[in-house]
Amino acid sequence: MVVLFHRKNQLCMTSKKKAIKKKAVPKRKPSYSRIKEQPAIRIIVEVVVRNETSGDNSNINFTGHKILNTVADAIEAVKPYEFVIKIKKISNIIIRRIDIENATLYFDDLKDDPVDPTFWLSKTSSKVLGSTFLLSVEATGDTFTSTTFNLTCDDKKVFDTDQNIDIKSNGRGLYLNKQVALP
Amino acid sequence: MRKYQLIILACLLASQSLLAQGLTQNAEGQSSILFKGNSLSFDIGKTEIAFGMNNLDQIPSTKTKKANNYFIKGLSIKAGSEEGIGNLFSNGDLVPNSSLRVFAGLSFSNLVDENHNNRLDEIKKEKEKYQSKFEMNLIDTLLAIVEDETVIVIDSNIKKRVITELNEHIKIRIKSTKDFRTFLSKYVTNDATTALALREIIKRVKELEKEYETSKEKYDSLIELESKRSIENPYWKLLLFGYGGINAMSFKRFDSISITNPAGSFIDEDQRGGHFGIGFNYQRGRFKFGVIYDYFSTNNFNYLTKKEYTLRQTTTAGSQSLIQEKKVTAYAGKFGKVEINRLNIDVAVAFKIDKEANNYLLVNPYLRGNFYSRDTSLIPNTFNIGTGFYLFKKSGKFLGGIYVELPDVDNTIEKKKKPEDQNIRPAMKRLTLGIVAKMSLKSILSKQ
Repeated sequence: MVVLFHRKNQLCMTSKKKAIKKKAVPKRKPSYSRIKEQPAIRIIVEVVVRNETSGDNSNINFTGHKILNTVADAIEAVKPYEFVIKIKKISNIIIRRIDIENATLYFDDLKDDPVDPTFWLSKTSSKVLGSTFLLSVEATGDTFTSTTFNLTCDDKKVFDTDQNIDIKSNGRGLYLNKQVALP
Repeated sequence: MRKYQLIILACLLASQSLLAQGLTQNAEGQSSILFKGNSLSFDIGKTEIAFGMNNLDQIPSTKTKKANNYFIKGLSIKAGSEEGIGNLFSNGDLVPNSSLRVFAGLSFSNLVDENHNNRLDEIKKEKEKYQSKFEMNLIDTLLAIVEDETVIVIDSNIKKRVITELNEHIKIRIKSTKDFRTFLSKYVTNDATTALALREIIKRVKELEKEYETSKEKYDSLIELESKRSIENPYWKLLLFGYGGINAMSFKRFDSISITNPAGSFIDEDQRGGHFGIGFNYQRGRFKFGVIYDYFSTNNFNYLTKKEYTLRQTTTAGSQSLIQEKKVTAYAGKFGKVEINRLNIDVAVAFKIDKEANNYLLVNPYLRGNFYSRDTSLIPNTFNIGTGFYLFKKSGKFLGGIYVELPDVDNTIEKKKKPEDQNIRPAMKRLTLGIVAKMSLKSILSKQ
């Protein structure tokens, strides 16, 4: 199998028998104002599948399609960050909802930390395209109680010190930071 | 044997780390407010060990409204000695007292606001749409920036290598603009024009990033607004439950002096009782209110008089005699089984006691009443009132508590005695002051 990358105007796959036209990459116009007008960059994935033993190419389309998708996915997507949130358990506090950029966690997503069961632990992943991300933790519980949490992003600690979630006099608590810097 | 089991349990308790939870308790260790999770407590004043577990904290997913209304259940087991801590650890006879209580009911609350969840999800969907658009352009834009800025690199070989490496990072490994900037700032080069090009690329990526962050801000602000609006709505919870249980107690009762066999003057009582009732708890913000009403089949042990007896046995053989002495703790008085109805009412209010709210105080006025006694000569209709003061750290750690109680508010018990035995005193002179120490073990089950 040979996978070739070319810059052309279409994305296609060729086999020994025929070339099959695959999905076209959506047209992309850079929104960035300072970029001068230039021809759009296109990526061509040319896949040649040879069935060496039987010469039967009946499964070429399927195999080629699969490879094509995998390759296309691997090259053009922004990779997500892995987040792990660790929250101190306080018996009368319920974590209602956690938002980490585009990921959302609920109370039942929190599991006992295998290392220290006095903490909840939850893992999620989300793309963060810029340099900051939104973090919001909603909690409910007994008035004036408080818990703490910390977060790792790709195994790096996000906060030097644990952050507090305080339950106010109406039984609700919120931690919200719209611009948490990526570590 | 039972004594040693209790001692071992008490030692185990003392070695556990403290994880406090809310509690309200009167002199008899009763409360009408249910508390979450599992706990094991050791009441120093009462020589009482209690274990409780329930599913009040095992809430269904907070994604949907299901978390607002769900079935609750739990049980508590209590074992102790009516004799007090001294006797538990002395050679005296132990008077065990145990009870098992189960409850089941429904929990209603406004924990989850589905509309709030939906609104947040809608905003996030819009944000994601914008982000997908940005993401689709991002790679092409960065490739374009690289191509644009590397024009100034003079050495064509270096230029080719730099473009290849930067493009490879953009296409295969990029996670964010910050990630790309970090990669660029760590890129090692000796070529001055390449260094200049890299600085220019970083500058342009920063501008691109700023443009993105500014656009993203409007969605995040909407999320912030919605979240802040949502937490303004006070949290409330209503628990409706039925409960029942059994209790057992053993003690030695002094019946009447047996002239033929003094040792036979004592009867080993082995009493069984039970109760069932209904209750509700309501919590709103800092206020908690709890009521239980039940039927209770019991006995009048609490009204018996505790006495110490010495049983002497003399064995005479010729000119010698051997005297054996045995101390017997027994309870004297008219004894019998009786059925009553009970009403317990609790109010618990939390107060901040310092500006930063590092500690808070839970004030718990309560009422404990016995009504409709089927035999008022054994158990009169009485009611006690009291207030507990419990100090907590904001982490939930219990720091200590006291209670003040006025037992038998209208002196019913004294009034039932013969006039010469009556000791009717004003309320203030009959106040009971107690200390409550309650230790909660780490959760045995999951969640909390």
